[in-house]
Amino acid sequence: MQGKLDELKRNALEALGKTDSLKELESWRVRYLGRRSDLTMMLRGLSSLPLEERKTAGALANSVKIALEESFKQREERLASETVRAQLTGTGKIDITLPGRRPPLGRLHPVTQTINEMCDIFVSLGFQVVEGPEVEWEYYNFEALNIPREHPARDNMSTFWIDFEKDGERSMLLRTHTSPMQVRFMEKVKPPLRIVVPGKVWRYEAINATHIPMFQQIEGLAVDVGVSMADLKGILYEFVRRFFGADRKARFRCDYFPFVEPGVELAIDCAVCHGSGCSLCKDSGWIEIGGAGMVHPEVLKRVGIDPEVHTGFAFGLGIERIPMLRYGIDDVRLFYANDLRFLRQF
Amino acid sequence: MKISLKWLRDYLDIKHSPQEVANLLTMSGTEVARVHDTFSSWENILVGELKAVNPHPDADRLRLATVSLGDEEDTVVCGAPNLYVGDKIAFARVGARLVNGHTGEVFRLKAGRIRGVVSPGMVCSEKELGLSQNHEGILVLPGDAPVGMKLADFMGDVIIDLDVTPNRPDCLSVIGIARELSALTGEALSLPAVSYPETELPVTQKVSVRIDDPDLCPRYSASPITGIKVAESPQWLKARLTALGMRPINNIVDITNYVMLEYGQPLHAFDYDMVTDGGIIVRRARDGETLVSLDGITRQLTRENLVIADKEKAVAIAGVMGGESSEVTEGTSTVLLESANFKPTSIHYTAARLALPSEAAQRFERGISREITVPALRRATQLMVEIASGKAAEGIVDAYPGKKASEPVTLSTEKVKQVLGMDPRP
Repeated sequence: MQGKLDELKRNALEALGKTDSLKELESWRVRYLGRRSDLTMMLRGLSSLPLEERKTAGALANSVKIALEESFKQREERLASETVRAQLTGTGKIDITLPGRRPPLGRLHPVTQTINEMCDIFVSLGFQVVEGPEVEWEYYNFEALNIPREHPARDNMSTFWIDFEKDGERSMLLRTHTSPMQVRFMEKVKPPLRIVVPGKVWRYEAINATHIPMFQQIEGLAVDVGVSMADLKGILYEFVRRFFGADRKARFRCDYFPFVEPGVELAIDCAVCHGSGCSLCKDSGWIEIGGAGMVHPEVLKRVGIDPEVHTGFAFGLGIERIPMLRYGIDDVRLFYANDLRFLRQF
Repeated sequence: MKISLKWLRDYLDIKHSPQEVANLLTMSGTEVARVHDTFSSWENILVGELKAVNPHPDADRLRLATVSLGDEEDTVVCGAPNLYVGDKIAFARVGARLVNGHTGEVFRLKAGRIRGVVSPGMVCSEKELGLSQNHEGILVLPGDAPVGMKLADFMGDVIIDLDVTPNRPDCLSVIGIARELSALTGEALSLPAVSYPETELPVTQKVSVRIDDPDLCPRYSASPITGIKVAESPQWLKARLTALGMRPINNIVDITNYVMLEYGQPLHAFDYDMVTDGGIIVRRARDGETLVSLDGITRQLTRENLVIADKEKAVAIAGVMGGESSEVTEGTSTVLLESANFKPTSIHYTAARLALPSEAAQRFERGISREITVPALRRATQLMVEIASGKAAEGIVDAYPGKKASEPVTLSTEKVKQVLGMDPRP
């Protein structure tokens, strides 16, 4: 037994010394340390030996196995480093003039970029950027904006209510528009004031290519002595001019929101069909980008501002629609799918 | 809300094109979602008569319909269940633009083979013509439809789909839109001349009205009409209801729906004999009171729900849905017609709690002028006399506890100038 093992060890080490490549080394491993190698067979055959011999024979065989494995590992390391050196010095040259691998750079989300661009324009027009809470009280989201309970306007904005009740009534929700911040700001700051409020809003809608439960808006509010609808139109026309280009047309049409009177809808001309009609603008030639109007006297009174002395205008624009129009993105869900292939393009 | 241009023309002269009308309304605040001009979209669709209906040689559920177009006869394949010889139908020739009954997409009709038989045209359903979502069978036209006439000439119309904002409940009726267009175009508005012979007993001998809760019901008017024969409505009435998306049922129900669409005032017809003594009581329900509504469901009511009742029991959920016991049936010979005004928040609450959003409730929720209650009642009474062989009583009952003197509205032109930033005067 001892003799056989010694011979096996000698042969294996000799053959190992002759391996010249990782491939040959692998073949050696299979031959001498693999499942069907002599050594493995011997180890298996131990059970046929008488009991006293088994212990010694087993110990011997295992020591041979360990020795071979050690040598194998050393040979492997040697061969591996030799391969690299050959690559570096011999025919396997490395072109060191190749550019390095670029570390992946982050970038701003297209929605963030849009918000920044819009805020820049309004800041240059004298507006201050403020932000409000996304989890809101029902009071600020509806009541204070002249939308009492049972008002049909509440049906248009399907609300995400939060499991919280005060006096048996639901009173906490995810804000359905950025307008609540108008009230919050006016409670703390008295006119003159000019703010824009970007932020996320939530509506409980069926999800499709044009509707998602969370999206973003930017609210604007200006209250002072002598603020008129002419000022509102002027500011928004200027915004359209700066953001979309000097030759872009903008249109106001009568619309209704409970917290403004008169209320209007702002639209820009359809870039795809230039007014002749297409599926994007639903054949109207105009694309709606938001609503606006003169702040309703009830809203002012509630925050302690006298509508006979001060007047104000407010507007709310949807954010996602803008990069969709600019870049021809046809599915709003892409903005929040967290797919780098999409986000990398901006 | 859908509006038919043809119907609108009953109340004012429209010189503008449908697109211009749509634009005027949109700019004024009532946005037009869609203009469905059937004149132009019904090219190559004619009125035909079914001459023969035979089984398809190769398909169990299909049949061969032979259609006469006057000087021409065509045999086409049709899968509809309601093919009867002699019926007038809408026949589409190859090249016609139709709506696919299954996918809803617009397509152009091509000649094709259906299970081996050449089909050079098609007998159309309402959905395929773009009239409604009804695709159960083919559209059957009235018996007097002239064979061979273009469908557009026979029943063409322009239907405008409006998005009415919550602050304009007055736009939830044809006359309301006509009034709006009259202001926008300057054309004179002409309302229907309502008159009918008052041949029967004085109304106070037949009907009495008591309002127990004037806050929830500021006005309730009623009119009894005897000699009623419940039957199918005349074609013109059915067509107008269908054009605006309502399903015709029988002449009595159809008249109440017609006047609701026309004036914006929902009405309700009771079977007079099922209302004890013709005595109407408008009151809150008692906690735990029940009522079986028209749809056969037993409703649990509370004090917060307003009901119409007689001295024995509740007969209707006010402004939301009628009760089964007093429903107008084939055997009804006297109708008690209700035209009332209810508090919007009360109707909203009741309709929401009972999950019954009806066309009537939607209008009440938004607020209706108390001045329309009686004109609508008289208009419906007139139609019942003319269409359902009814006989009207002398006078009507009008309980009006919520009557307010009309107050002048003060408008400061200075304030207007300040808010708008311009002088609105021409």
